[in-house]
Amino acid sequence: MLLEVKDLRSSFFTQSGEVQAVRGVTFELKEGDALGIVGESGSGKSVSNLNILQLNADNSKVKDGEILFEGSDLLKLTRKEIRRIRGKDIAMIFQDPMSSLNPLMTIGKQVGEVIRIHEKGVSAKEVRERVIELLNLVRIPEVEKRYDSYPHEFSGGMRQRVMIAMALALNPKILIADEPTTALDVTVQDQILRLLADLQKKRRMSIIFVTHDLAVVAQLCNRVLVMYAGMVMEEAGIEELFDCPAHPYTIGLFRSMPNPEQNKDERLQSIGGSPPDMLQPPKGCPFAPRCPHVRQICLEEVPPFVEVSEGHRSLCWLQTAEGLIQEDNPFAKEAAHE
Amino acid sequence: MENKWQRVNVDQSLKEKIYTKNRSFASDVWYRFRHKFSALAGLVCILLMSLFAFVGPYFTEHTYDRQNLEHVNLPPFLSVQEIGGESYYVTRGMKLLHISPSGEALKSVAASADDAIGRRMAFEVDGEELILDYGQMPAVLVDSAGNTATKKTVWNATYRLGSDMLGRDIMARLMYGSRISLIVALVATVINMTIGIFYGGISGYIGGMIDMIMMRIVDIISTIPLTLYVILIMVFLESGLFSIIVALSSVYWVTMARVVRGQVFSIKQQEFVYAARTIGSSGWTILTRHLLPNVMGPILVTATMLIPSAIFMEAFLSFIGIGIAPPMASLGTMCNDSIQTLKASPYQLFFPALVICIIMFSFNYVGDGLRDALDPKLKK
Amino acid sequence: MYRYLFKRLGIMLATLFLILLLTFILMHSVEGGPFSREKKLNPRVEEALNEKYHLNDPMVKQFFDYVGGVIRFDFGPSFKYPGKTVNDFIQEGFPISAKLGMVTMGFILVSAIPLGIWAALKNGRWQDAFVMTIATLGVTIPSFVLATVLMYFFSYKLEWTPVYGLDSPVGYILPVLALGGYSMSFIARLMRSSLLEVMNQDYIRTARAKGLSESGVILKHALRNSLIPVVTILGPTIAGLLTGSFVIEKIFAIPGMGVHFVDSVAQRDYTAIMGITVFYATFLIAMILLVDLFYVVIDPRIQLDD
Repeated sequence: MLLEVKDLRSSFFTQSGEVQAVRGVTFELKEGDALGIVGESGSGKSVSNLNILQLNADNSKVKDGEILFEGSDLLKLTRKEIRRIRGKDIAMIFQDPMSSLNPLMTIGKQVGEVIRIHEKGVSAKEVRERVIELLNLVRIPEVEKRYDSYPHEFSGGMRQRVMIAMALALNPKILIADEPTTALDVTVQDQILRLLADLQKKRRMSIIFVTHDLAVVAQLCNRVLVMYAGMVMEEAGIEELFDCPAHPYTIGLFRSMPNPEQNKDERLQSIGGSPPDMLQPPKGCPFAPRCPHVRQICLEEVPPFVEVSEGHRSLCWLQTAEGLIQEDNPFAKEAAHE
Repeated sequence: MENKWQRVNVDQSLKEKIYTKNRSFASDVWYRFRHKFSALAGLVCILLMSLFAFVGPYFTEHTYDRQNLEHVNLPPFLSVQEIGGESYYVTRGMKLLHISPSGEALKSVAASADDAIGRRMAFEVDGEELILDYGQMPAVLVDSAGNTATKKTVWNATYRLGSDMLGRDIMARLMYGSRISLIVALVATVINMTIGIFYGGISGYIGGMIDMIMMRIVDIISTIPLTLYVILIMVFLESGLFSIIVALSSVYWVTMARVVRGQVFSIKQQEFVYAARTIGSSGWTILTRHLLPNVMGPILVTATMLIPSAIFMEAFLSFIGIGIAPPMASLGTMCNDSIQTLKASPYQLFFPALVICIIMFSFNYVGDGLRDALDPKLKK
Repeated sequence: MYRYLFKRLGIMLATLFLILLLTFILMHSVEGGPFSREKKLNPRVEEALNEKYHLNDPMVKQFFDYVGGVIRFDFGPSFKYPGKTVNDFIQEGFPISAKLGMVTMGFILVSAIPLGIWAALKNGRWQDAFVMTIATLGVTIPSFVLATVLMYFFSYKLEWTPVYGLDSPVGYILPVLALGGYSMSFIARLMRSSLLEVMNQDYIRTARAKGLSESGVILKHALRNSLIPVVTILGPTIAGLLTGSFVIEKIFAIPGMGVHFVDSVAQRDYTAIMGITVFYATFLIAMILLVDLFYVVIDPRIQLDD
């Protein structure tokens, strides 16, 4: 087991109060895994991942939980210790490559910086050679010329490749990609995803890929986590999730994806309502106010995880043993069908 | 016990709960403004200062130019010497000023004899002879019976904030001076706003070559500090309130024009203008319903920041001698006049300086507060 | 890059031309000739003077003569002080004013930038509030108020500094503080907000994600980027020092060019006013161009047009 996140809870402390961004997130990452984390804005997916490398803003605090990596709890490491891990064992790339690169520094220098930070005494010549090799790896054309260029001279897709080169420089064991394709258009998105898939296989690297787009996840990942309002709603292997999604939220997400084959007179379906206010998170299941099958108990108590099948769990009252007995429980009917 | 498994009727309100109070834009801005202490304090100060400047003069019998050469350079707190039931203040000119029990300044008496060697002066007051021994520091008053005067501090009842070197009442001059500052600031700013809004609005809205030329002109003008233009213009106009307003209005509009043009330009590009166009709104509707309300914010903020500049310019011009002409009082001329007697009469500097500072602080804080209140990203 | 500079140069020259034109027009719009203000001159003397100063030539010719003179750095004689030329004024006063200006500029940079950085790093804590309060005072209090108040306390009451003149290093303290107070406060606030904004940028997070230490992040990434607005403001700062000198030199009786200018204005010495104004304008423009050059060097993004 490469990385274990156990019951992570973290909040932001703002002028208006405490925003509980992450409310009990647990997952594991094995070697070679490509884990997708799917959720809307505000679901806590980015915050949880930033917590892994202690990269959150000063006004955020981890309230509880552990993140185990190679025997130590990353949350308990000192600043100096976590710096040794950043960029070297665990690397991260972000959503907007334009703003994530320093506009006043050449990209050659920025990519090389990661090498210079972790390996003292490497000659400038060697750094340059390695950077050029990396830039070639991510398929940047005319590398020699581009080495001394500035970020604003690149297109969006190329900038993201630079970010990937930067992240891969020291062969990290885990790459966390926080919505790396959201800011790019679809064709470029496809290229980046293919690049990532390729690199992952070549380097036997584990990836955590955060996105709000289910389709993207299908292309790259072997396992998926669905998050909502700071909690995990469902976790499953990629095929299992697409074949039989168990959680009402996940089902709603799938339903709302436009289907090019659907009858064009049918309206697009969406999940009614909006996400809850994280200043005062709901008591029970966070999805309950928007769930078409909501029961009284859903509003009052947080449901437990139910193992729907091997490696597939769902956070829902209606899928517990007790819940399945209730009348007009749609999941009970499905269980009956199985 | 309730059935926990009972279906719940979920209506729209549960799903779409909105978590902030619903307010219109204007009341939202006002709400945020008045909750910022400095902004509110600034506003209150401006109101009080306006009262002082415009209503104040009706409550005092002094004017800004009535001189009384017997009462020059009197501080607001007089250290008098009380002897024989009467109080006297020793003036800079070595005269004895009779002060009434309530602190009013009355007549002054010149010395009848002066013994420079023994450093004593003799005064004839109501038939009595008083000797002022100025060899001692501070000087001491002695009457014919040999009694020494007792020292007392009395609040100057005639000239509540003191008098200047021509015996004019400082408080009255402050009132008139503030009045001038505020009038200049307001009128000049309104004119600048108008010119600036038209110039910038037209330039931004039309765009293209006209916009480029108009903005180049603005660039060329603003390369030189605006102060220089104002000084040049003032040299060739008569000193006075009107001239200052003209000078300020001819030049400061460039700031407003830039701001307005920038806003109009960027809003013009934004999607909601295209949206309005696609539903067929006319150019005029777009201008008034969409562009103007969005531009009003920065316009107001810039205006409140232009006011302190105008006040400063008027004081600056008066200070170097080409602004308001004497005997009219201006906060700037008062500061300038005070330099000559700075060591002995610091109050003549402090009061106009304080008033200038209060006015400028108030407008600055109000401007800051407005800017923060109008910024949608800072929503609480 | 050169296109940008060329454009700026064009604007500057246009400004200079505008100033020349403006001063020329204003001066000649005064009633009668410059000599008619004096007590009545013998008409023949007046005629001779007019001839000497080419005042009977057509306006346009006079203007070109004047421009020609300016290019040759000849600003003409003073109308008020026979025997003295405007050049004399400039030569006497400029070195003194320039020295004061440079010292003040040095003071401003050396104090404002570190203060701003410190306040940003201590954001939210009392050090930040403290610096910000002082800075707010500094930008609101007019320079002549500050100058006179400082003079009262330090020269008269405490007698720590001399009242007039720049004879000793101590004599520089009050004028520099009064002249530089506003700009120092402004730049400190600008530096602070700029650094705070930069620290919130995504590329700072990237730098941290690479394992860079906090001091490394600030020194290598944040500082350079946050200094850019400060460089941009250098031009207006110099202009502000220039206009501020009028008042400060007057208060502290410093025989610099500012005082000459103010006196010329008060006495309506028209050629002096024109000449000094043109000189100022040229000087400022040269300074601003230098700053622009510097700016282009630091920010590689300037290739793009506005």
